[in-house]
Amino acid sequence: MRIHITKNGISRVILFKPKKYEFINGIDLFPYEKELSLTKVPIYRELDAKLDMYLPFCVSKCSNPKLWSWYFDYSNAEIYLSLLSDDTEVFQIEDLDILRLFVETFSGKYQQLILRRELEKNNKNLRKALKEIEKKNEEINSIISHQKEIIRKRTKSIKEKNNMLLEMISVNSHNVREPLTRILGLLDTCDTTDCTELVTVILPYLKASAQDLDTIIKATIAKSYDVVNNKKFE
Amino acid sequence: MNPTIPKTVFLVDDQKISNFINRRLFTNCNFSGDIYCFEDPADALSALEEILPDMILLDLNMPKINGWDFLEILSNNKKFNTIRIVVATSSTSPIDKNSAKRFPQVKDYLIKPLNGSMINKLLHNAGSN
Repeated sequence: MRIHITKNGISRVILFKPKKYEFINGIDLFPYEKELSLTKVPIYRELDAKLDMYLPFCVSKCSNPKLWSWYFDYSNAEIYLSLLSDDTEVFQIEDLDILRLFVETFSGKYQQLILRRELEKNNKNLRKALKEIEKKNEEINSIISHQKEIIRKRTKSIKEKNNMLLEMISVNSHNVREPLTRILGLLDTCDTTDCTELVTVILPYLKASAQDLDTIIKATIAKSYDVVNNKKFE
Repeated sequence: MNPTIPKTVFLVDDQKISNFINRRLFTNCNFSGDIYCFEDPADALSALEEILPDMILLDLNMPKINGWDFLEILSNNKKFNTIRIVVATSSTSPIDKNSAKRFPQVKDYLIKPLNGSMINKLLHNAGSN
């Protein structure tokens, strides 16, 4: 017995020989099966030389062999069933019911197996996809933590700059104003100071304080340049 | 109300000229007590072992021992609790003004240049807050 199944454009043949069977993938239809596919009419005929070539198994051992062939159309699979009978192993019309039952069971089982195979394939793909997703997740996490690190570093740099600015404000406030307050204070005392002290004490003090102011302003400007150009704060 | 005019004042400022100006302001306000000037806060701390002033006019920005260090040392010794500390600084930074609030002994926070009316107020409000 030969069963040719075409499902989703893929053909397979199962050959049932006495006491063993054979499974063949991707095989073309025999000429009489092609005929069957067009007419859909079951075949019953004597074996001729040509068929003998197509069905080499056990033909020689048969006495008066006959070929029976049917076409079954299931919703998503086509089945060509071929049967060889002879005088010793006769096929009768009464056997047709059991044959139909066999084909239905076989087709059901076959489709079940195909579905299971597809399911396994899909499962495998899903597992692969899951693995891929996990990998991408890891990559994303790594990117996120990298970004966090960059943000942390930049925040730190900004905080450092802020601290530097605060320090600059403090330094300016203290240092720059200090000699200036002396100058203002000295000028304030002039009203209550006699001429001699004005010339001998206050003026030299004013001069020294003005020079201090100049020195400090120069130093502050230099320090501002340092802060702006310092690579650490870029 | 019984305001006590201070009898002994320490002027602590690393700038000799600042101390000169402040001493002049005190004398112009008819202050008749003793004024001690220190350009080095360490000298003021040593003097504190023998003389307990009523008031210390304290600069903040000084080398070696700055005004904050000086305040820290003073606040660690109960003996100096009675001294009225007046911060006199050229800093206009609010950070410094806020920091001074940590020390209860600092009763006044003056921004230089000081003038006669500031000193008058100090002398006549001393001990009455």
